[in-house]
Amino acid sequence: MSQTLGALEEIILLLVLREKESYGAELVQLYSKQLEKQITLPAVVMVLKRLEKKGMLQSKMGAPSQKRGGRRKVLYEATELGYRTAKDTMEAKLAIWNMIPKII
Amino acid sequence: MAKHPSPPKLAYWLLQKFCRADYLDEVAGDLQELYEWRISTGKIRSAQYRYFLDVFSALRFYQGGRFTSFISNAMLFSFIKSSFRNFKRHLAYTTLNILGLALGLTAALFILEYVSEELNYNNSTKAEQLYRVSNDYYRFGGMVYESSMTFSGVGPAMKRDLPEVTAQARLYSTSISRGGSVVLTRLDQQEINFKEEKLFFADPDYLDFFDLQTIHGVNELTKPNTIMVTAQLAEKYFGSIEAALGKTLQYDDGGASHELRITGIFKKPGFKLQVDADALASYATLEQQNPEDFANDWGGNAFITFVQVNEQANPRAIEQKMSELTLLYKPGYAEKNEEGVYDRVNRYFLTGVADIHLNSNYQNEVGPVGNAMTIRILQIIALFIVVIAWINFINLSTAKSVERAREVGVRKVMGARKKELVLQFFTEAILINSMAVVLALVFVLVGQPIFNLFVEKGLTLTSIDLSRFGLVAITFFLLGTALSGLYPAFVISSHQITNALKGKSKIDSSLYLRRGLIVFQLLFSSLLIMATLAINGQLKYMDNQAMGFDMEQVLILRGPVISAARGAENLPTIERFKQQVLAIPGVSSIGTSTVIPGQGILRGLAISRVRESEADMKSIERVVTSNDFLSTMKVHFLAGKDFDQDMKSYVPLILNESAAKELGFQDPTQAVGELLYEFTREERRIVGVIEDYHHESLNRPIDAMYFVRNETYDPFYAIRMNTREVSIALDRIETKYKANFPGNPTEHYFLDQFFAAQYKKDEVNLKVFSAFAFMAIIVACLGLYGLSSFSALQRTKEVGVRKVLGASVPSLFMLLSKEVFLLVLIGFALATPIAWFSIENWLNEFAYRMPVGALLFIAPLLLIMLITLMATGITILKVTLANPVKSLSYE
Repeated sequence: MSQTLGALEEIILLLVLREKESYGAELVQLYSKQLEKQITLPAVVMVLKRLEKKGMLQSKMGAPSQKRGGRRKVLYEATELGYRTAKDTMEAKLAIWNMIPKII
Repeated sequence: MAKHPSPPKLAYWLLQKFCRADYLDEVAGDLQELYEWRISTGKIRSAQYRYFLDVFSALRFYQGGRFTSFISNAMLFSFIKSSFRNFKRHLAYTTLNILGLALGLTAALFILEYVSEELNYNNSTKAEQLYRVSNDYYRFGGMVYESSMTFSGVGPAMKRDLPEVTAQARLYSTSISRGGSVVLTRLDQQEINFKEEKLFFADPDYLDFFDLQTIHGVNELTKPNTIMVTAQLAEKYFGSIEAALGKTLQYDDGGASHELRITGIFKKPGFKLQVDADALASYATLEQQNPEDFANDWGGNAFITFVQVNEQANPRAIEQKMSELTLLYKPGYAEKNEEGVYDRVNRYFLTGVADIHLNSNYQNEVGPVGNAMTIRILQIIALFIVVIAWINFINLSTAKSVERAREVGVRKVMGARKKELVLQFFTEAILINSMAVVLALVFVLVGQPIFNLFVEKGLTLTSIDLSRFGLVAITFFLLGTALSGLYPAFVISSHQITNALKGKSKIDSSLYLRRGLIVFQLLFSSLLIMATLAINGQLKYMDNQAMGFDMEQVLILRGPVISAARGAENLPTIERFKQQVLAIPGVSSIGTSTVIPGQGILRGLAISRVRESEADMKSIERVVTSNDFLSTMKVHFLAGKDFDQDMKSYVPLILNESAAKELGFQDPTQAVGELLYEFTREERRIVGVIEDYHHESLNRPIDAMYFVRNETYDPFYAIRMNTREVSIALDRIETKYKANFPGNPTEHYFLDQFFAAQYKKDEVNLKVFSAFAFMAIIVACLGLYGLSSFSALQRTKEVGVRKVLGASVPSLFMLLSKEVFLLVLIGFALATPIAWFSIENWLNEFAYRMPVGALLFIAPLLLIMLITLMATGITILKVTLANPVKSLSYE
């Protein structure tokens, strides 16, 4: 494993992987639906930028839309490294989880 | 698209201002989208709230450098960081600086506390319109008396006859006007009784004039036989306020007694009161009992009178109108002599109530009297001590600048602009000043109890009158900080790069300034030392003067107030008590008097050698004493003898030397046996003349006095003791007192202590001056030490070279310390004339003043020399004693 992920980074990365392509506002909505917790947009953007810097995500400019007050959105997509890191992380975690005796 | 409110504009503006530029589009767009989404879920308020939250959260993208100003946050941070590095490197120097400033500020804060309280007398909301009425009395061209109190008729007449006067209030206290004391007794429980010094009969408006709040019950001082008291007094007698309301207290002053019903409880205001009362009985009580003396009398000056005037009124004009008013009520005063001048004149004065405390010269002023001059001088001292501290700061910083020249050079080479260098050093100045402020506050909090003990007051930081001093003090402080910080900053940052890097920087221009500033510091310190020595000298001088009587071992016992009988019927009891006390071992004599030494006597009663001739009357202080009082005091008789039991067929009288002269007797022996007339017709026979003694403090000249015998007046018992076991004798005296005068609380003290209390004001002044002189000197010393040690280090190499060439240690020491001592001499030379002039001025207030000798000035010079030597000597010595090999390899 090359790089470790923070808890929030992990979730955002997984969400991006699931959507194939996503952006800040959408991720905030998905996050609150999936985890039933609120998060601020800048927190998400911060994580996206960090993942991009680590090379796990790549971004591209989307088309400007009326919904966004005529602004372009920035779309994020997982890279090869992103996919592998997520896979490794999850497998490692699952391996440990499977060794835990199940109570319920 | 559905119509709905747009995202909060303010939040969007904030986002634009603080978000990182390259993220702005993305974030703003996402936020807009989220906002729409949240709106669509139906919660507009929550959407707006979350939008705000997100914007604040977006502050994490904030990057400095978007401001156009040249100090960025990063720069400021760097300034602070390198300031602290510098503080650490020059720890001793920084500590000196902070300590000096903190001490200066501490002194200033203490002074502000003290001054604030002194200025805070009678500061009621109505103070602007309130005046105290006082009057002088002249007869046949000569002044008879000056009195802070006036007649009972004056206040009501002014309100009645002068349209400008809207209200008046009189205060009257028996113990103040006639001596003796007042006892209050619970009517339902006679054994609960106390002497009350702070009881006044008052007109109802007095409470309103001075913001005394009625916190329980009502102000019914319009009615006779009512009284209002403080909560404290109510609790003393009744245990609680509730129990006290409606109850009755029995009033006794030895002459009159009243039953007074408590109608209300009052609270004293936040400021100090010149006349501090714990109980206010209704003035109507007096008017009802004796209207002749208390309602509209124009002869007895015993009434503290306040008037309220309307806003347009001119107090000087009112004073003028008062003379006509006098003639209206005192028709007898219309008589004129051949030249058309009135024989008798009352002159009235209106003093603003807030000015009474610091500007009163009346001998019979009620309440503590301060001195406006002292307060002014203290304010100047506060200012100068802080200035001295800043001077230290400037001196040390500019001196240090030579050492920091290299740093400046390097910074300049690296591209620092002058502006930035100035700011670097200015930041240091601000930091040092702020740390000094914090330290000063700590010093004040820690030192407060000691300071209070010193000045005998209960001061705290909150005593400082912010409305009076707040703005001035803060402006002064900020301005001083800025100036003392900016000057060195400019000097240091103007080093030439090339010179600075070579370490050859020299700042000649600031050298003169530095010397000038040191001279100023030394001048100020010398002044304070001289002032302290002068006050101390004068107090010692007064203490060592022959007083003309013996005040050691004299016990003073306050006479009884509550008696079974009045006047002559009391005589057997008084006689019995005296005999019983005389029988106690250790007591050598006993006598009574209306006045004891240390108490002021007001002139006004008259005596003459010619029967029924007002024109021949002299105003001489009158004292009523018993047999043996003057012998108990051990005054010296020039002729005749003390009163004794054999003088029966006439009323005997004794004069002091001054009185004998004033009455025209050339020789004391000539006076004995002559007749005098009191109150124009009552015959008295002179039986003795005593040598003048100092009845009052040496601030005042000796007045003409006469003594009349009366065995039934006993406000004070003077008992001379000749034993070491005073407490045993005292116990026995108290037992006898209680047996003979049941129901009277006992009160006693020693005459010497009572007499010394007159000098309290001067003693407090002495303490205050010496404390601040001490602080000023310490601050100045810190500066001297820092500076001299620095300049000595600067010359290390020079000293090394000289030593190698054969200079001796003493000659080198002389060389290095010459400059500082020259400055001391200049400072001293400048201080001496100022000090001499002020001390002469101050001493002229005293009737008996010490001679001003050279020692008064030489001692401070030597002291300052010694302090300077200690402050500068050690480092200089270190430099001169150092091995030249070491000093030559220095740098």
